[in-house]
Parts: sequence; structure tokens; C-alpha cells
Amino acid sequence: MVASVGVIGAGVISRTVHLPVLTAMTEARVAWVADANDAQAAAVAAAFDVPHAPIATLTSALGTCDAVLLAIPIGVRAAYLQELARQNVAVLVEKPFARNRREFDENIALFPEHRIACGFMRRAYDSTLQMQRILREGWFGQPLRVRISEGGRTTRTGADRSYFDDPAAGGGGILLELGCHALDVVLYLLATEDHEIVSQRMILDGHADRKAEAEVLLYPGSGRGGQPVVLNYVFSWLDSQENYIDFEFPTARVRFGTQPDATVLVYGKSSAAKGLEFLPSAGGVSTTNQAFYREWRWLLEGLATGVPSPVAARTCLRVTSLVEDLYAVARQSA
Amino acid sequence: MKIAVLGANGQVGAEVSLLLSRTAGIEVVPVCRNRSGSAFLRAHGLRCRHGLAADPVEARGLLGDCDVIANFALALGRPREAREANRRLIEAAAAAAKPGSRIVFFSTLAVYNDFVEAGTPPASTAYGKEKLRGEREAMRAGRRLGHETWVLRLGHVYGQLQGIRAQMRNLVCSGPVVVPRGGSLGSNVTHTVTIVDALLKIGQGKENPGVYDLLSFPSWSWNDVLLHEARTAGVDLQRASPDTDPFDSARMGVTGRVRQELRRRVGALLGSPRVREIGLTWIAYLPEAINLQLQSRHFRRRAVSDIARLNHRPVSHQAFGIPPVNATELVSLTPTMELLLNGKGDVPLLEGGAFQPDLPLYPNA
Repeated sequence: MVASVGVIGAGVISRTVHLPVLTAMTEARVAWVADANDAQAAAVAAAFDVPHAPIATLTSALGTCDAVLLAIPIGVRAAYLQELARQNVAVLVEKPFARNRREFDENIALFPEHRIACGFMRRAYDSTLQMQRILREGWFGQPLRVRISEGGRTTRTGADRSYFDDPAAGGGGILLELGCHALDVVLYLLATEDHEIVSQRMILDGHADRKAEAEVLLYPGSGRGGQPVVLNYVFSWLDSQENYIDFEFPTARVRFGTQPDATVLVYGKSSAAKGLEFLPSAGGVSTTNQAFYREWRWLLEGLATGVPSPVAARTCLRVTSLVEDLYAVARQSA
Repeated sequence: MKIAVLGANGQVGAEVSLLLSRTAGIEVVPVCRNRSGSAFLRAHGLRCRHGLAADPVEARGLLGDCDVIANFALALGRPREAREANRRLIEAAAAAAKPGSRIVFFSTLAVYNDFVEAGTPPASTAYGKEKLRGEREAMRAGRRLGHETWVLRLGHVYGQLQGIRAQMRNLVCSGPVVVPRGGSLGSNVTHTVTIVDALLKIGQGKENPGVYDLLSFPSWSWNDVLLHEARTAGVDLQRASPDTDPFDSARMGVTGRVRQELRRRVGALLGSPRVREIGLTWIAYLPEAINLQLQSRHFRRRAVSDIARLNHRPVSHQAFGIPPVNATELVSLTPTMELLLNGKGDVPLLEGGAFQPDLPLYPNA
């Protein structure tokens, strides 16, 4: 079956990845493209040779779709989600899924679990799948600590993301826009139930954080039960730094980059020598297009089978909850 | 009936020797150049003769009392050296054979130029050519020295000790086997049990001399091979289709292949850094709508290519892509499956057996 997919939001992520992938898929066809900026939507639709749905006609256009991509700022999504739910149209929401637990619960309650997904596509990366196997099979025992370093000195933006600077649109700082990806990968891999913020620091630029660092304890059981894994992260748009996620075990460290084609490296616990590199082999993806393709395949297969996909929005609760608490602590200490 | 096996320490010769050794009424004479070569067979209960069968004097002692001489040997080394060794072996074996003995030269389907993967231009291989030369020399020597001679061209030799069998076992045990056309095409597989059957039928005088293709009988499809292997391994066979069927691309013909190659080269030229830089410079002069369209097409092309790479599912084994040969078969063979079901393909391996002493040479045997 070829699924009919509508695209709400003709911004950079739709134009550079979602639309190329959706129009390349044999399992989907693009029903229309819509955007608050009708002219932009029309131009993008024409460029991809797909129909354009004027924003005024969107309510009726929704009925022609099996699923919709919602790639608009987080602060303006609520009304769309309600209408999609009312018309029983499944949805893939670009990340971040929600700014807090209340928003998360409201969104989740609208849809059956398999009909709402969130674009945490790093879960499909080959490096993520390899790390998942290492953890599941206990190659090096239980992890003790995870370190994340991601970001880079912002010298160019490449695209107009001015909603980042608009608190009403929900634009956040680095933690919400970038950090949530790596945090989601770590929480997804560790499947921890609870967290405790030991320390955290944000460098704020008005309302937005440009650098965020913290130490958090991640507990395997609810109510802070079990032996926690220590999480240290630094996300920064102010510094030049390496991008990696590093798992420390009693006898070894396992590290992988944050790009889709990153390979997994294993180091001796205190070895300074170059790590041993694993060949990609876990059946994961190694390009951004492949990651988005896999994400769409998961959602569409879920629609056919009724089984929630690995990117089902419900699985984003942990990262939503952690990010909300981190911002809350930051606000208290500001 | 006494059957000599030349090249008994090879992969096929060893298994055939072991299978012959448990066949009633057959005395197998495995022939190896030295005791290192025969160690495996001797450890598994077989007595062997040792010597240089390519030497006319030694060949007499090794083969002089045998009714059938099965030549599986293939000399290795520098091409000239190997060719000369193969020729000497064929000559010496025919000369040493007793009157009335039958000679079977084992060759390969690789003598056919189209025994290559579908979509690949027909081509001869050095191995195929050498075997073809051996076939001619064997037939000539047989005629000259008055021995009935058979040439049996083998496909992918399949049996308990054969490499391809281990590969198929791994495939069926490790998930979906990617095989074109659901495995319905002929496999070109020759079971060792059928090789033994052919030797017996030739020894019993049930076959006319000549050149034959020896495949499992009746010819097995890949599906038969994989199902049999899965059943033996106690697993369910899972099959998948390749993303590109090699037999479809083979139908494309020369024009199609030329067009495909042309498209690939033009694509490579347009994608070269220099052409791209020139293009980017000129595109800036075009209207924004065209810029957007060109960029969108570029992104889409890249997505198509990335998705194709992700979904790329090549056939699980090179042999699956080789088209079935139209075989010229022996007439008296017993169905391979019947032989296998009767346990004729089970190789009797001994754990910790003592090394057997040498088999005495003729005329002291």
C-alpha cells in the first residue's frame, strides 16, 4: 500500500530532507505541502512537483492523508495536533516533541500510540544499534558513566531559523534544539526510569541557552532505584569541541560520534591509544536521508500493523521530562 | 571392483574416497603423493597408496590393478609447470592402467564460457581452459591406449566435507537467504553421492564413454538445496528476494548495458568537482524558482541513492547468480535424493582413529 502523506511546514527540514525522502519512497506519496507562508509552500511544492494546499484549505486537505508531517515550531503545534486527531490522521512530529510533561501528556492523549511518532532519528543510526547490542549483551558489564559533548562554535546558520529567537514559537536554546537528540539516544539506550540532577550550568543569551552542561544521575528503576549511571554533558554553540557520546564501563570505554556515519570505537579504560573501530554491521543507517527514510518506514509500518514504532512519541517521555527539569533548575538558579 | 582415486587428498577426492570405502563390493584405492596429504584419510580408516602418479614407473604400482581410475587431480603452481604436470599425470595414468580398465577424468562446468554470473559477459577462465585441455588429453590418451574414457564435468560440488555446503549451512542458519526467483532456478549442484553413483555405474558398464555434465539427478533447484540444508540443520528456511534480480539485468542485452554504462559515465562527469563548481557559478544567474527546483532535484536524487543503498540486498551467494546449464547427462543415475535418504551421502568420520598403514603397491598388493 502507498501511504498518502501531507507536509505541514515548508521550512528547511522539510525541504532538505523530508520532501526528498518522501518523494523518493515507493511506500509513500506526498499529497500536498502547506505552510503558514503560502507563497513559500507553493514554491517548495512546485520544486518537488507535488500539490500545494493553501493554509486556508488545510482542514479539508487533511482528510486526504494517511499521515502528516508536522514540521513547524513547537509553540504553534497544538491546534494542528488536535485537528489531526479529530480527523484520525497519523502524525510524525519533528523534535522536540514537547517542552514539558503537561504538553507531552496532552499530545499523547490525542492519538493511539502507534499513530504519533517523533523524529528522534538518531535511534536508527548504525552506531546506536551497535551500542544497543553492546549494552544488551553486556560485553563490558554495566556502564558507570556516560559523557556527551556536542555542538560547535556557531559561525553560520545556513538557514533562517529565526524562530529559535522567538520564545512564543517555543524556540529554545541548545539543550532543546540540539542536546535533546543526544540525550534521547542515551536515555533510549539505557532505558532508565528516573533521574536526579546533581549540577547544571547554562549560559543564557536572553531566554535562550547557548551552552549547557550538567551532571545527572540516571536510575534504572523508578523512585531513584538501583545503581545510577552518571551522565555528564556539554552542549555548546560557543566553543569548538568534539562531538561524541562516550560510555565508560569497568574495563573499557566505548565511544561514537553524533553523525549518522559515525563508527563505534572501543578503548582500554585508561588507554591513550587509538580505539579499535567496529565496522558498521548492525543494520542501521549511515546517512541523514536513510535515517529519515527509516523513521517514515517505521511510522507507516506501524499504521499497517498497529504496533508502535521505535520512534513512537510515547517513548520520548524520558527526554522530555529530563529537559523540562533541567530548564526548571536553570530558571531557579538564574 | 577396485577404484583408484587420483587427487584423493583434495576436497572432492577425499569425500568420494570415504563414500566409496563404505560401498559394498568396492575396494577404494586413494592415491596421494605423500603421507602428509593422505593423513586425513588414513586417520579416518582408509589405507592409501603413495607415490607420483605422473611418473610412468610409479604409476604402474599405484594404478596397475584398478578397474576404474577416477582422476580428480589438478596440479598447482606456475601455469606452464601445472599444465605439464597435468598432462604427464593423464598420460601416465592411462599408460599404467591395466587392459580393460575404465578411466574417468573429472572436469568442471567452468569449461563453458557462460558459466558465469548472469549479466556478466561470457568469458573463459584459466581454470576452465586448463580443464578443457585435460579433457582432450584424457580422451586422446584413452583412445590411443585402448581404455574407455569418460569426462564428467562437475558443477558446485556439494557434500558433507565441501566448502559450499558449509556456506549454505551458515546461510540457512543466519536469517533470510537472498536468492533470485525464490530459488526456483537450477543450481548446477553436484552431490558427492551422485559422483560415487556415476563411478559405480561406469564401473558396472552401464554407461557409454563420452563427455557428460554431472549434476545431481534430477537436477536440484537452489530451493531444493536450501530446503534440504535447512531440514538437516533443523531450522526453518527463510528466503528473500534480491533488490536487483541478476537474471533481469542479464536480459537487458548489450544495448541496455551500453546505455546504463553511458548514463553512469555522464553522471560521474556531471558530479565531478570541477563541473559542479562551474554549474554552481552559472546557476546563480538563473531565477530563484529554478534554483529552488534544481536544488530540490539534487536533494531528491541523493535521497533516492541513499535509500537504494540502504535497501541494497545482494544475493547471498555468488553461485545463486549463475544460470543453470543445459546438461548432457549420464543415463543410469539413481536419484540423488533417494541416495541421500538411504544414508549414502553420510561420510563416515572416525574420532581419534589410528592412522592406517599404507596400501601395498601393485603387483605386491
